Amino acid sequence: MINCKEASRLISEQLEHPLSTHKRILLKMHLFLCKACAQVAKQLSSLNELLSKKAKSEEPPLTSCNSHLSDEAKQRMKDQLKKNKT
Amino acid sequence: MSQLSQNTEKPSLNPEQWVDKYGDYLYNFALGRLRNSTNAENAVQETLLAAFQSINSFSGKSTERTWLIGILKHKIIDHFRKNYREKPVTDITGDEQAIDQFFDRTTHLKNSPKSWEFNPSQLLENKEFWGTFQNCLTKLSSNARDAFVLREVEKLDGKEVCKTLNISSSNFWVLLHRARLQLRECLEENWFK
Ligand SMILES: [Zn+2]
Repeated sequence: MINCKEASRLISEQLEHPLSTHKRILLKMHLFLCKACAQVAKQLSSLNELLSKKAKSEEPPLTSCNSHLSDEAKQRMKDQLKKNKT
Repeated sequence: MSQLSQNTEKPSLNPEQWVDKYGDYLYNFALGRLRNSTNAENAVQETLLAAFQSINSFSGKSTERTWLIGILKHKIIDHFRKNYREKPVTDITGDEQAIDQFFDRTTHLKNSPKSWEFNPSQLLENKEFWGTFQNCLTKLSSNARDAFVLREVEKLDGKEVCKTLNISSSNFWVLLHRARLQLRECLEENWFK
């Protein structure tokens, strides 16, 4: 029987690639007996799904810094573009 | 940002206008991933120059903004590749220890996880949730964060992430494991409570 730390490692690994039969059975047995890890597995796969959908959406994640380019930076970019135009 | 139009017209042949129109949006996108304002600024500048040089590749099938974001993504990956080649990850003991912290001595999770009830399509649109998500990411180690962002936000293939971050696949898995456990806990404490 694997412990919860091992189980969580396999839960994470499973999101990367299919587990070997041996690992899959070990994890299945653990999740059958351990409510906490079964919940973690559910949470992580729904987070995974959510991020897959978000990646395809019009508004990508990680854009909520609300920062601004400084006026100097903007000017520098405009100058660079102008230089390349000619 | 929402005032940006979704027009599909050909890019304006006056690329200096891009700076005012999309500069801040591109900058925030880059900053959310690179976390360093100088690197983010450089990535935006490189993107605009590259866009200008390949202006004929813009088909008009996507919006101008989407086209620029596509170029910016490549520039961001280039930055990661360069940074991690210059400063390779040598030690991930900290991340291994961070994983241990989530478990008690009998190796059970210290905080028993709750059931997350949510409507996926509503959550996708919820700006506040994605703000919380972004905040939770900043609490990770930079290595774990970068691995997670490239894999789960940018949806790069695992092998590609390893190459970009210059790490072995076993280290990559440790970083992802840590990131997932920590994000899970942070989202539960700050959102799904
Ligand atoms: Zn367990």
